[in-house]
Amino acid sequence: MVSVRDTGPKLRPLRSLAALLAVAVVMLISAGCGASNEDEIVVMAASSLTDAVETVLADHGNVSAVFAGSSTLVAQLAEGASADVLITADQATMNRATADGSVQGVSSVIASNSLVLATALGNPGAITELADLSRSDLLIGLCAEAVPCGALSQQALADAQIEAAPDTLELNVRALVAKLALGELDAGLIYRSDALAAGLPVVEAPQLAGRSNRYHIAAVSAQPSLRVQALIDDFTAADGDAAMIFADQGFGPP
Amino acid sequence: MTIELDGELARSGWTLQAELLEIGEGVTAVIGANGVGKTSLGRALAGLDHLQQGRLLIDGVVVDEPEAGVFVPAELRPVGMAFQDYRLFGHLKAIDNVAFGLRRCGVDRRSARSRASQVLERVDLDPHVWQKRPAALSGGQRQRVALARALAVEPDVLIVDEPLAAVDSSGRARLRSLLSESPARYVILITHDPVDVATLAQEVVVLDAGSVVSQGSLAEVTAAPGCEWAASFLGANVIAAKAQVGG
Amino acid sequence: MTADTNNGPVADKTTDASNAENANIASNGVSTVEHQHLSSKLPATLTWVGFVAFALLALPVAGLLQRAPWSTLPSILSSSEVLQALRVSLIVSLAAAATCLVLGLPLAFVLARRRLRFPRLIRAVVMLPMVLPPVVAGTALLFALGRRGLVGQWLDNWFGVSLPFTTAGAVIAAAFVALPFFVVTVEAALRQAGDELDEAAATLGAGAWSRIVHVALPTIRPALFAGIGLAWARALGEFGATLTFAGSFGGRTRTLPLETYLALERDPEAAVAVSLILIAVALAVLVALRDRWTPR
Repeated sequence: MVSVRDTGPKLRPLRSLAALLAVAVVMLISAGCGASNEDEIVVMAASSLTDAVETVLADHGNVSAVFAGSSTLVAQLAEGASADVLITADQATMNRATADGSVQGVSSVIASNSLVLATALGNPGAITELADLSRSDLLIGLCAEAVPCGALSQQALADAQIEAAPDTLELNVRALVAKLALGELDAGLIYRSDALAAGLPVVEAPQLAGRSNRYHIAAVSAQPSLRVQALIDDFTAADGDAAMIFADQGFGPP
Repeated sequence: MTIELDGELARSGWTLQAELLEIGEGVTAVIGANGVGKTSLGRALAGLDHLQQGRLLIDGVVVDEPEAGVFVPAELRPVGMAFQDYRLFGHLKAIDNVAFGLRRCGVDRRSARSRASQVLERVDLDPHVWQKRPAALSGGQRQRVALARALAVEPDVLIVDEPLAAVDSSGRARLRSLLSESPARYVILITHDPVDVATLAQEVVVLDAGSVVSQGSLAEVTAAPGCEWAASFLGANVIAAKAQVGG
Repeated sequence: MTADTNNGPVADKTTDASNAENANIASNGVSTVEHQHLSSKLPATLTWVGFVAFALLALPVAGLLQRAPWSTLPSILSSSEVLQALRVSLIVSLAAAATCLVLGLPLAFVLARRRLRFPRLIRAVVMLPMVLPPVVAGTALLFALGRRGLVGQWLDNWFGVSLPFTTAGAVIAAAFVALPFFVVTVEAALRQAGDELDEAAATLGAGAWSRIVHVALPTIRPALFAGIGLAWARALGEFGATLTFAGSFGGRTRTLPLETYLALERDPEAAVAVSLILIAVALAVLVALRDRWTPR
């Protein structure tokens, strides 16, 4: 008697597990079908452009976007990811994609993003100038030199002859922005668009004038379709909708 | 001196009522069908289970009285127990299993081992298995080690749960004499073996349906067994057992 | 010989009791020989599916090996950044494993042996870091222990202790994600070991601490090693929580996984090379520990 009662609850989880697996398989298959849509244009863009690019693409039908760090996108393209348009955060990564042949179109600049000295909300560290980045009593964050914003920051600090005392060299600018927004860091060098989006105070620093990176766009194929070319033209048009959206979000002109 | 239990034991859905159970010195056999609470009685005496209510005294000292908030834990009671399922420590050699209790009482390793080997000799375990771990022993060997382990600490109260079940018949006689010579003042024998009862027990306690139904010398309990199970057990089996031992 | 005479109202209990007895005897490990004998007669399909699973685990490693820049490997691996990251990784992962042992062992005992009020909820909380995306885990740690965090602000105000951006912070991040692996492994072993040996030790005069040291811990020794191994491995590979909570500073908080990520930005080949050390270190330790996981 006891043993008969025992088998009930043992079987039921197995059955629900099987049902769950079946659902998962069906979902995977349908997701796979969705991905093989032939007419869809795929845009790969640097993650700092997420909001801007999504706003621009909202007006275009049948376009999907993939966002990641520029280097990741270039690596994915090299490994055979299928995309029609690539937008990188700097010239160097675009050059890498062109050099290994994964991008065949000619690149052009669509926007720029200037480096700014941002502080935590309320500026608790009382930062007033770029030289404050060398104060050891503060928690200072910069981007690591290997990523574009880090290279830019190092160059600017070196030219201004400031020996910064960073407590962390973040692996991407988003991580740096998040730590400033949470108040865990007192100050850091980030992009104006990120400071604007996160609502972080910006301390004007003359030494940072003209320090900016440039976003590059290119068609993956040497002969892009008309729709792909039209999309790229929308991004590059100097006074188009895209340019306005970029300007609204803190990006500078090309 | 006596062990006195006047109270109630509860264990997953049933209770054992023991109204003024008094156990005297010497060997007392606890008998009854499976599941009537023989082992639970042993566990309560050893301090492995709490009384639900009432109280338990060993040699006049209260060791468990819930209403008064008294409970002496197992490690502080003068009670040793040989378990039906052996419960040997798998990571220790046979000899270190036996020495375990002595080591915990502060005896140094060398003395504990030499004492343990004496006890192992008394339970008739070949010296070549002393260095083996329990997993490498047969059922009968394990039972001997378990018995030796309980004997080694020389408790005042020795509880043996089905002590000889896995030992072959030739070994039983020897172990029985060992139990009867045990220095423990109280030996409580939980058993299914009529021969154990007939040969060892000075007193018999019969449990049935959650209470003590009969208690006394073998003759007294046989005359008034208190339940059908004990009647049949004591009647046919004990006579047969006596014949076997006597013959 | 008396079982035949059993009948009436006690029959049900009889079955239960004797089942329990058999189970106890079996759990004492009566016949490991028989067990090994059976396991060599697995159904062929099962074996094949097992190989597929192994291939799933081993193929990505083979992919890395195939892409590894063998000629430049020595120069990449002997660079000061990589050696520094290796040192930080070893310090952080070993300290995290030690933290798991010191904090996790008591927790495992409490979960296995104490009657708790909301056992399922408590167990779910313990396992949460296993399912939490590591970046979320890092953010959660900032909310708790950061300069503006729930507890962190008091640490900062009262003791001047600030954990983010320090090696101690990296250890905490790694321990946070690794602890469940240790606790779950050890708790399962304690449950499987049961109370029987503990009770036997008590009747032999062993007190509560003595029973833990001389009975429980030796009994679950293989699981202890397995738990430490799992926790350490998890801590070694930790990326997201460390990056989010502790940041990334060479020689202080930049561990090998963070260095790998950075190398990926500069030069994907170097990233492959750096991840090879991670694999080599992990394999060496896990293989060495493996013998200890299985009981003798």
